[in-house]
Amino acid sequence: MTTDIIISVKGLEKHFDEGKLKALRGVDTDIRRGEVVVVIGPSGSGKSTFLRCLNLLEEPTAGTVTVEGVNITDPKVNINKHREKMGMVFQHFNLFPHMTILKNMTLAPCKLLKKSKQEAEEKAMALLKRVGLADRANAYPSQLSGGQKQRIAIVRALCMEPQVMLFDEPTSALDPEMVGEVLDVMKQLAEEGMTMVVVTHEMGFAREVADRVIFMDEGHIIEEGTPEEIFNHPQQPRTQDFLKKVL
Amino acid sequence: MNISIFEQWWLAIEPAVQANTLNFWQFIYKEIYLNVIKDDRWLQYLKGLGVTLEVSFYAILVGLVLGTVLAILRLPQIQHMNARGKGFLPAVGAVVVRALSKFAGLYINIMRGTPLLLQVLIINFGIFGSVRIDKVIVGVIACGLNSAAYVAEIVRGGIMSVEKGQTEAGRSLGLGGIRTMIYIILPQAAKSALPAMCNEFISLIKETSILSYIALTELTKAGDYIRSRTFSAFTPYIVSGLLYLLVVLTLTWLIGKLERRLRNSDH
Amino acid sequence: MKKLFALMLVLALALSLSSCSKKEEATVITVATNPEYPPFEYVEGDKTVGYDIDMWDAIAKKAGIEYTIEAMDFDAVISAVAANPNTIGLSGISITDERKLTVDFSNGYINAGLVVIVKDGSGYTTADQLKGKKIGVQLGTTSDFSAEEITGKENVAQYKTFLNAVMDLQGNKVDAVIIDKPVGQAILASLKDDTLKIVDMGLQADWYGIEVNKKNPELLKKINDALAALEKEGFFDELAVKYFSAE
Repeated sequence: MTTDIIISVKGLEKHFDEGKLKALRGVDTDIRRGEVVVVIGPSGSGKSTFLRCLNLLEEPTAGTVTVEGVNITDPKVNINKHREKMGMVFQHFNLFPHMTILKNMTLAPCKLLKKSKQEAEEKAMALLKRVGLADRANAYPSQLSGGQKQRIAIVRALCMEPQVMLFDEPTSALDPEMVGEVLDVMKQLAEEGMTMVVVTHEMGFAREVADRVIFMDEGHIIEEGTPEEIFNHPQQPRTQDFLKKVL
Repeated sequence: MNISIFEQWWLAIEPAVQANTLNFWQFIYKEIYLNVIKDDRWLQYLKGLGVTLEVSFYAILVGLVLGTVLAILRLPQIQHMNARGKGFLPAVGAVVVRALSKFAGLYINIMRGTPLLLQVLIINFGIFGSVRIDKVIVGVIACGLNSAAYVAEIVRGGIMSVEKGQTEAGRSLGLGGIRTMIYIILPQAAKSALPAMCNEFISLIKETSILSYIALTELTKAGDYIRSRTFSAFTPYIVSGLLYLLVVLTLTWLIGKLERRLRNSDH
Repeated sequence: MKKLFALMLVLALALSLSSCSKKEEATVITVATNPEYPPFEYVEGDKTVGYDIDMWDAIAKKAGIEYTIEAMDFDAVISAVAANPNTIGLSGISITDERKLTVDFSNGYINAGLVVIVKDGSGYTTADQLKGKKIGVQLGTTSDFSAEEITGKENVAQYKTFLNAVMDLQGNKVDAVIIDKPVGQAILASLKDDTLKIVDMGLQADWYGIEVNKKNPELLKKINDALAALEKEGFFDELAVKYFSAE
């Protein structure tokens, strides 16, 4: 891990329903290159909204998100170019059901990175091999289990060779027996030095893999620190309260 | 002289025709002979069928393309589009897009709210009032513009039935809005819209019969033509009707096949 | 609710009874006509009037026929006569040999001749000049047959009403419209369009007859007898003066 800051968030606010619902009420944090940040918190705490603001799937109401020195909330910025560098994995996988696995993985590289079909497929096959799904390359998403789908979703994002990976509760929609296989892939990714921001309820994963844990509640960052600090010595009563309930 | 078997049969019953003493089978043959065989009239039906197919095919294409554009303009995110950023150009852009969306809504309401016959007459005698233009083109334009309004609603329903996560997945990979629409949303929308679309195509094919009002000799007109010659009560209508049925059944079969193929690929 | 139902039942019974009793009365002949063909048949106020209607009224009086007039599309006139032997077709219908194979016709009661409407300045004066040109007509009229002979089937545009044919002539979609002489004069008088003019090319018209179902030869005979008597009395000339005195 270096001290090189890849994403810098300043004063981030997000309101829904014309301000009636304030999901984020001023969030500041920096994500460093190679860092694995796990965001935890009760549901409705704004953690998913925070993650979705990082690649502007939600447009912030106020504040800035600076990625590699560029303020991406500036409307003049080509957001698509920046999203290419930020892979995202969703709770519900969101694979494209009308395409084979291979097509799911090569569509964006072919269209955006101007890779040849062969080049993109070679890369995709290599990634599939890594997650042990090379034999399913020509299957359709509906023929896969949930765990397999999520592993595909991860490698689909990796095909774009992103600088950062964003995970939005990647195991919440999975049957318990499939959680492990997905977390294993994520661990492997972390070990390889990928910068990751993970919103999850998997406290074991957070404790084991995170460099930094952020606890959010009611649209604020309440507390952040190493897993050791957050899980073993939480300072804030709300953090202590939350951890008591989930651990 | 060589005369065909059909002519021989006709000559055999002709005295009975003149004397008005036909039995049931002779009557049937008389109807078939006069309305189908004589003067190669079956060719008239086939020519009419050809025109109906030609007009329908191009009208469906016009309807699909224009209808899809209208459907996209009617999507909530376009209807309520806000200027992205400050400044003159983004503001004007958003206003133009919202105006187009309003226009699309108006267009759909007008086209669905008025009879096709009136639209055909207005387009032929009004818009192309003093232009010498092929009636097939008038027919394609009139039916295509009308169909587009229905297609728009079908496609819009199809697009709305695709989960929001699909758009987000596409956008998060860096695909732009248009590419996400083309590669990810529309193919899935098309699948769920297919049955309704099949209905629309079938309606369109049959509705082209209205073009007989502007003297386009399509299938219904071909029947009318022969009937005006023979004064037969309904035989030409049956022949035309059977040909429509044949076309519609073929189309239904083809779309059913397509649907099964799409179903096999996912879900 | 029950009362309402009973009332409806009584009404339905009364209606069905009245329609039954109608059938038992002396046969009333239905006159099927397409009153869009002035001066032969057209609507004035809420009444159908015209040359054909006057002619028929005289026939009916002479033959002691009760009748009602029913206005409909020309296509429907054919069906109406086919469906009911007590319906006659009275709509400027040309007598042709081919039609005689399917329906009966009274003796011809008028042959008004054909004229051609062209654009002023088009220079068309003879039928030969119209060879290969687009000619607009009303489908199934004597003009239609004449146009086919002149320019060939594929160049005839057949409209449901001659009015649409004339409108397409105004719009340059056809080069000429062939039409019954009195009809052509009537329409030009009402359109007041001096870019159009009538040319007499000496075209042969068919006689008009009254269409009768083959199952009703008695009616046919009554009509023909009445026609013969009326002609002898000079009624034909009288009627011609009334309608075609413009000549």
